[in-house]
This record gives sequence, C-alpha cells and structure tokens, in this order.
Amino acid sequence: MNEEPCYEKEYLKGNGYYDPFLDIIIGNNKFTLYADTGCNSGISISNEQAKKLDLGEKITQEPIDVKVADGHIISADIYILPIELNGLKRDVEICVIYPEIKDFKPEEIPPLLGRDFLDHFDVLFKGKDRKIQFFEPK
Amino acid sequence: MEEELLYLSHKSLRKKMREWGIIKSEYLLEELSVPALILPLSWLLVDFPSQITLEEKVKKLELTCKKFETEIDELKKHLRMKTKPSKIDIIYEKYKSELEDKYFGKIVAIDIDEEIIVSIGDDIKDAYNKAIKKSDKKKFAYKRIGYDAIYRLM
Repeated sequence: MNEEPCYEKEYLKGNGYYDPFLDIIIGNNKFTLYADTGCNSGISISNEQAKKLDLGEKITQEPIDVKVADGHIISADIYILPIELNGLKRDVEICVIYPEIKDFKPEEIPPLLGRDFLDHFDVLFKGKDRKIQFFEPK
Repeated sequence: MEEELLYLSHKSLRKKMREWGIIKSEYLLEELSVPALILPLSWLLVDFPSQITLEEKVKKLELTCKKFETEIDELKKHLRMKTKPSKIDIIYEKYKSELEDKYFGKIVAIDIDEEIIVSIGDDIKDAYNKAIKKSDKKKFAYKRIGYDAIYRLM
C-alpha cells in the first residue's frame, strides 16, 4: 500500500497497552471507540451509554441475541444510523447491548467499532508504528 | 441557654408555619423536633415552588412514572429471553429446516405479529432494507440462520 491513507490515528495508551481507539461522531456526540475486528456489528455500546445519544427508532421488534467473548449470549437492540470518522460518513448497524442482564458490568464491555464500519475501508493496523490507517478501497 | 434558644426558634418557626397554613394540628407539632419541621418546609420550597399547582405536580409525577414504566417494559423484554424461548425462536422453528437448507448463515427478518418470514439478507441492514420494501412495518425480529447469535463481540 503506497498511497496516502484517508485517515490515520496513533494508538492510545490505556491500561498499560497501546490500543486503536478512534473518535467517532454519532449524531452530535463524539464517542471514543475501540477498533475491533472481532466485533461484526458497526458499533457496539451498552444501553447506559446509548441513553446519552439520540439514536431514534430501533429496527428490532424483539431483542436479538449477541455472543460475547466468553461464549455468553446477551440481548441487544439494533439501530441504523450514519456515523462519521474524520469526515468519512457511513450508515452502520448500532448494537445496543444490555450487559447487566447477564451480570456483566457495562464497563467490562468497552464501546466497540466493528466490521460493519471497518469493512467500508481498507484498514491497516500498523502494530510496530502504533497506528491505524484507513484507505478508500479501489 | 441553648435549649431555650432552640425552643424559641422552634416556637417562631411553628408560628410562621401556622400562618402559612402548612401545619394545623398543635398536638402533632409538639411531637416533632426542629429538624423534622425544617426538612418538610425546605422540601416544599425546593422541590415544589409555590408557582407549581397541584395538577402540574401530578402531571410531572405521572410523566416520571410513565418514563419508568417504559424503561421497565424494555428491560423485561431483554430479561424474558433468559428464562424461556422467545417468540422469534418459536416462529423460526416452524421454518427451520427449509431456511437452514437454503440460506445457512444469512439473516432472516421475521414479522412476529403475522408470524411470517419477511425477508432474508446478508446482514441486518440488508434484511431490514428488503423487509421495509415488502411490509408497511418498520420493526422486525431477526435471527441468523443456523446460529444461536446474530453478532459476536470481541
């Protein structure tokens, strides 16, 4: 990949590790999300975090099932909204999870930026340089 | 001396409260301590300023109750899935063999009220966009065909 990235961000240090955190705009609110290729929704946030946002109407008539890292299944509602990363706007599925139902504390599941957004781009995790780069796909 | 001062302030406060119509019974008053008299007064002044009528107070409380009722309903919906099969599971079971033969791994949008499969898509967005073209409704239930969960996180 020789061309210039349309966006790049250095990893942020949290809990002793450098991780790919990105500032995303949802509506008028800025959210810092963890870029996670293991999450296949667009965004995953807890219901407590979602209360701070105006997500509009959900598209789910009944809660859906979502599997978390340890194999537990928790329930969630889905919203479809445009989100923005440094001017790059895409419609994504926002998964609002109810972690407390399965005795999870909301803070144990960080807000995630997942594949439904990342797959719109060619994304390079430059581990050695501690940077994440976004390229417009050809 | 301290007791006398306390009694005087207690007495003047009682007088004022009687003038304002906050208290009527002298007997009850004798039972109450000074903080017990001050607290309800400050509560009245802070939480319910005199401009707010009783009807408005009731309306305000009704709105708060409604907000909590909605929140409780919402949480109950999520809790129900933990204890017994959901409506989605029951409807999915009817079409299971056909769906799993032809569309394994895809997302199915289900109309719970009509108990029908509305659309099938590669992801929820795709299934939703197809479903709203076929139906007047804007909300559907979803299931990933052949899997126990639609998404995985981490």
